[in-house]
Amino acid sequence: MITAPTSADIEDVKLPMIFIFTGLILFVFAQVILAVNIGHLAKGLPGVPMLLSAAHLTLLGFATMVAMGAMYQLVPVALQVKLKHRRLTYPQYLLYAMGVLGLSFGLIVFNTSMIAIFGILTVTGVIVFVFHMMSTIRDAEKGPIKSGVFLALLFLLLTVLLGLTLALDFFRPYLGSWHEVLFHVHILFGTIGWFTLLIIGLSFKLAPMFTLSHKYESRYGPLSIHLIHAGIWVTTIGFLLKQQMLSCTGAAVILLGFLCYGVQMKKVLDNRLKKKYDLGIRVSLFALPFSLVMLAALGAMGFVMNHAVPVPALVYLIIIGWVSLVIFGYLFKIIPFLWWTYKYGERAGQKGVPLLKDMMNEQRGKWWFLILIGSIILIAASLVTGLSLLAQVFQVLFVMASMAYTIEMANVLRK
Amino acid sequence: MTKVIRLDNRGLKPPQPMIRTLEQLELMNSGETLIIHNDRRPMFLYPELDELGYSYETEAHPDGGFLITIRKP
Repeated sequence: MITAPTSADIEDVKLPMIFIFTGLILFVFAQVILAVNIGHLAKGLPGVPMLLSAAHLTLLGFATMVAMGAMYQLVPVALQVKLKHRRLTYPQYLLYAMGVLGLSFGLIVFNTSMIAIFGILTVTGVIVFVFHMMSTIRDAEKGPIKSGVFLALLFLLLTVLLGLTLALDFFRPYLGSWHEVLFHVHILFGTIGWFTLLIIGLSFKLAPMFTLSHKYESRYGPLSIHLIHAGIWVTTIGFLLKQQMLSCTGAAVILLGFLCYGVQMKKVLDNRLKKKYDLGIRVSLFALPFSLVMLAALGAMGFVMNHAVPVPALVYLIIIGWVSLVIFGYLFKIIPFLWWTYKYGERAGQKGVPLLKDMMNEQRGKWWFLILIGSIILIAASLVTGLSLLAQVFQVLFVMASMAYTIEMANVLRK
Repeated sequence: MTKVIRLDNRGLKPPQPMIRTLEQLELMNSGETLIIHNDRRPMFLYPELDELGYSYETEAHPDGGFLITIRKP
């Protein structure tokens, strides 16, 4: 069974929860900033500092923050190892949280020294985390889970180091035209290298665990990791040498990797014993095909309408439709489970003790996810068509839905 | 005398213990009892048992690990 904390291990639950709830609150802040500034995005100007702030609050403040907290909990379980330096965890949280808050605020007011200083703080927080995780997984069994997690950590480090390079360029310009190239590599490393490889690597353990699947063919898993990894480098070299054919080839290799991942997931899910999917898992599984279909549809729509790839809408989709939606799905499962384990785990089965399903109302959950997903579709479509007012209206709806989600998650802790 | 089956899940990696347990339960008849010996409290198993309507009790085993007695309704 999953290595579970006993009720004596308060620290085991407090740690991921602190990361998770900080992340959720910062997500709402980010969405509020986006609501005010979405007009710029609709007009095709994603590089505006306010939008950079919203993006970094979402990617660093929410997604990476939640990933860190979740990894402290999940990596030991998925790879059957113990955290190497437990005492680093809370200091790392403080360092990182302060860094991200300062960086985001620095971007809002566009104070280049603030951006540089808090950028350095953020990178330090990440370095501590990566060092801790890498030493923790060093003794783990070789396989696609270990490779996926290792590579994801490596790309996280590279992404933030690139980010720092770009931040320093704001402070004292030295990159010239390299700034744009490195910006693209930064985004590629972050979205595909860090988030996607992490989600894929961990899902190789979590999907079979949550759906009780075994005895499935597993060669597509390692293949998908290798393909995506190779594709990232080919695309990067294409960016650096400004060779579009090369970067397109790299993108195609990455896509092939995604396909292999899809095949592997199908094999796992086809062999599952637990026929019914929990709502959270359904949403997380849905996020990838949803984003791919939306990316294709909106990409085509933008091309037909404006003869150009609608980059702002696509970036929005990757950040909110893929990364954030997957996380929301998993959190819907993880938060009630962690809390229930902590509070009632030792008394499970005894009369009068609340059940796991008493922690969360799945019916209400269905509505939020519908509103969340619906808003994402409408916002993305509005961005492609350049209708800023409409995008803003739907974004406000999204803000309210994310606030409701956060409050409901917090209410789990009162059960 | 109701039939009692014992399953030793110690040393197995997740999700093996849970899969073995649920597969064994499926093969059993109403009223029969399954006692599993696990390294840790099977936190993931409990909600599954709740949903399937099984009653169960957990106690620490003197040699380490936990014994979970599961009764098929």
